Amino acid sequence: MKVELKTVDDIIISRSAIKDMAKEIGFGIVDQTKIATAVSELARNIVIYAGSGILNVSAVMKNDRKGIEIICEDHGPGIEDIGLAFKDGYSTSKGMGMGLPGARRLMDELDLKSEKGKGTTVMIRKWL
Amino acid sequence: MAKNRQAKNIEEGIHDLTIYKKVLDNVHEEIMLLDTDYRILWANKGVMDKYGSAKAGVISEPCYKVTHGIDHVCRPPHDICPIEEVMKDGGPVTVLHTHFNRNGDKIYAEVTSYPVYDNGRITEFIHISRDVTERVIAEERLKEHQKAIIELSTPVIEVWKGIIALPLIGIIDSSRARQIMENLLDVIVKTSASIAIIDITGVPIVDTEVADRLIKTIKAAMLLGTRCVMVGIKPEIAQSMVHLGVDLSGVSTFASLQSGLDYAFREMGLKVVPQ
Amino acid sequence: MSKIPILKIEDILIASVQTELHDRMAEDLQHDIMEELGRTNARGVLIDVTALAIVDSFLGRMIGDTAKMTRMMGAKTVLVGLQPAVAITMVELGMELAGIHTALNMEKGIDWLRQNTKNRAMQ
Repeated sequence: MKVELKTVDDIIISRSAIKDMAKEIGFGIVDQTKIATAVSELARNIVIYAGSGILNVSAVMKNDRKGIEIICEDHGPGIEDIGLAFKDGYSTSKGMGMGLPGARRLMDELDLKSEKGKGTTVMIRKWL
Repeated sequence: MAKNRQAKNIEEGIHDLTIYKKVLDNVHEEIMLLDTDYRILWANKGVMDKYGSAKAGVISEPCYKVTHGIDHVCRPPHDICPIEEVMKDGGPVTVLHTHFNRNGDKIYAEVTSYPVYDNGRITEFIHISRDVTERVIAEERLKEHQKAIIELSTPVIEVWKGIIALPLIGIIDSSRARQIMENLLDVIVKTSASIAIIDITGVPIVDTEVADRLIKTIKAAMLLGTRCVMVGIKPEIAQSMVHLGVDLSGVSTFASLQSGLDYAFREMGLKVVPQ
Repeated sequence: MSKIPILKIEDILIASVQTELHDRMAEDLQHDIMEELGRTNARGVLIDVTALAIVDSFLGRMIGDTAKMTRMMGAKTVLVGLQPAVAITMVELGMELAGIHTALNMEKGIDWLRQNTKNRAMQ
C-alpha cells in the first residue's frame, strides 16, 4: 500500500489506513494504536519539514513471524544532526519533539537514512 | 567402440533417472519446478497425491491455484509469495503457508523456494513444501495454553466497589508485563475503579526492566483516571530498587496489602468499624 | 470541516470529541474553549476523548496547552475517557500529560470538577 502525504489531513487518513492494515495482519488493539501513533509522528515530521512525501506500507515475514513495515520517504532538507533528532524533547517546530524517539519506542525496529539537502527515509517495523 | 560407449552412457543415464525418480517419488516433501509465471513445469508424486484431482492435473497450472485454490499470486497479509521474495533476494526463501489439499482440507506447509540460474538470470524455481500441520497445530495449542497460564497468573480482583487489587506472582518478563498492563487497564474500564492496588509480594526479582514496566503501568492507569498503590515491597526489594536508581516518587507505596487497603479505604472516604 | 460543539452545564464547559481530530479541528477546539471561558466565566472544562483512537504528540501537546491556558484563567480542566490502548501508547511515547487531571468517564469527571471548583469558591 502506498500513501501520499501532502497536507496535515493526509496524516489522519494514512494512519487510519495503516491501523486497518495492522489489524488485518493480526495485531491487537494496543499494537494497532502504537503503530498508527508512530506513523502519525513520522508523517507529521514529513509534512512539517519536507512538505510532502510517501509512505510505503507492507506486510513482511521473518522466520515465520508476521510483521508490518512502513517506509517513510521524503525529499526534504534532510536531518542535520541525527543524534540530536533522536533526543527526547528536541524539536525545531511545534510538537513535543518526540517524533523520532517516540516512534522508536513504539516500534520494534527503526532505521533512518538522511542526506542533507536530499531527503530522509525512515523505515519502521513491528513484529506480531 | 564409440557405439558401445554411447549405449553405456544411455544405460547409466537411465539408471540415474530411475534413482532420481525413486528418490523424488518416495519422499514426503512435495517438489515442483516452476517457471517465472508461477506455472508448474514438473511435479513429483507427493504433489500429485496431495493436490492432484481426477478432473485437473497440476502440470502447467499456476502454483497458487493448485496449492491455495486461488486465482492470483499469494499476497500479504495472508501468505507471502516465496517466489517474489526469491526474485528480490536472489537466494532461497522459506515461508509458512496455508494450503488446501485435494479434498479441500486446510493444511500448513513450510515452503522453500530455490532459484535456478541460467547465465546469471533466474529462469525457474524449485518449490519444496512439507506438511507441517501437526507441528503448527501443536504450537498453536501451546501458545493458547501459555496465554491461559498468563491470564490465570494475573488475576484482577474487585475487592470493594471502586477498589481493585492485582496480586502479582512469579517472574515478570516483558511479555507478561505487557499482559499485566493491558489486563489491568481493561478491568479498570470495566469496573470504573478509582484505586488499583498492585501487590508485588509474590514477585521474587524487581530489576530495572520490571520496575520500568510497573511504573509505565501505573502512569497509564493514571491517564485513565485511576490511582495506583504499590504494596508488598519487601526490604530486599526496596534496597535493590534504590540501588538500581528506580524512581517511585509519585507512587504511593506500602509494605503490606493491609496498609494499602487501609489507605484506599480512607481515600474513598470509607471506614471499617467493628460490629 | 466540522467543529466540536462546546456545551455549558452550570459552571462547566463540556467538549465531547466524537470523531478523529484533524489538526485544524484541535486548534479550533482550543481556541473555542478559551473564547467560551472568557465569555461565560466557567470554572471547569471537561474534554471527553472516549471516541479518540489515536492521541499523538501533537494532540497531546494541544490538550496539555489547553489545560495550562485554562488554569491561567482560573479554571480547571479534566480529560475523560482515554481508551486503555491510547493510554498505554501515550506512556510508551513518553507523554504523561503531567498536571492534567484525568477521569474514567464523564460522570466522574463532572464529579471531580464540581468538588474542586466548589472548594475554590468556598475559600
